[in-house]
Amino acid sequence: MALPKKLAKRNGYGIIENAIDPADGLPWDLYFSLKFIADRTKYRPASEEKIIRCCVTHSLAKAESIFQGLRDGQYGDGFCYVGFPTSTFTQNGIEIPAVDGMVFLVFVNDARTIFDWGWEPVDKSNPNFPNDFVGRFTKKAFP
Amino acid sequence: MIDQLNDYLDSLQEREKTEFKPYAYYNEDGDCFEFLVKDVPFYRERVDSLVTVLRCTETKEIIGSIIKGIQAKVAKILEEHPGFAIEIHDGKVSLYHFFSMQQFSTKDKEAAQVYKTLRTMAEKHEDANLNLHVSL
Repeated sequence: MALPKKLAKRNGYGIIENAIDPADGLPWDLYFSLKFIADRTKYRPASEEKIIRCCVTHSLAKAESIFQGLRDGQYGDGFCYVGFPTSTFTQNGIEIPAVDGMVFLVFVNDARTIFDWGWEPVDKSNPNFPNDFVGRFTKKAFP
Repeated sequence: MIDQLNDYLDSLQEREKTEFKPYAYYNEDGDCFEFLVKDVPFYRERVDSLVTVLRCTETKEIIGSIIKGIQAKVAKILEEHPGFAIEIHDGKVSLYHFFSMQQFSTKDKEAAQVYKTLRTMAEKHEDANLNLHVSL
């Protein structure tokens, strides 16, 4: 059953409106926690803010693939968005080319809230996917 | 389209600037704990289903970690090692003890070495050695 595209307002959370819905490739909403974003950017504002603005949003809106079912942790039917942003940022916020052999991942829990992101090496057997994608995720949900 | 997020990031610019220092914090939505001791570009490397290490892109040295599924993991440790409870003070437990438990219980030598490195880091960077908030 398809999940609703739009999310209701939620205290302490904002909404990202143009993430890809893995069910049909069209936009849908995801939540982000105000506290989490504030915590993550507190000590590394120059780089982390730009990584969120560029790499996180790129990977959500232009994901090359989306996996569902996160076996690590207790995230149940959450999602992992896989993107290939072309640049990243130094600790001073200077834009630099993305490192070869890396994918950018954004993790979303089963309450449709993003809770983690970052660069990871690609899998040796398939450079389009993150390392050990077979063991980490239940299925590929998109495309 | 992503205005809410960009607007929120813009609003954070008004915060007082904070110099980088080793830090750790609990992320409720992910039930995970992030620990970072250096402000350099880094990438993530999954060790196992519990821990992902953060490595400096240039040198590959370990500079932090993300621990996933904290609440369930601590509950399991307490079930298997009830004496661990005396290390929990006011619902908090040191990262040093947490990494020690992981190092001593894993059968994977590479993972044990990573946990040893993280344990040493947690011991060295007391500022970042904040505590896991544990529900008992």
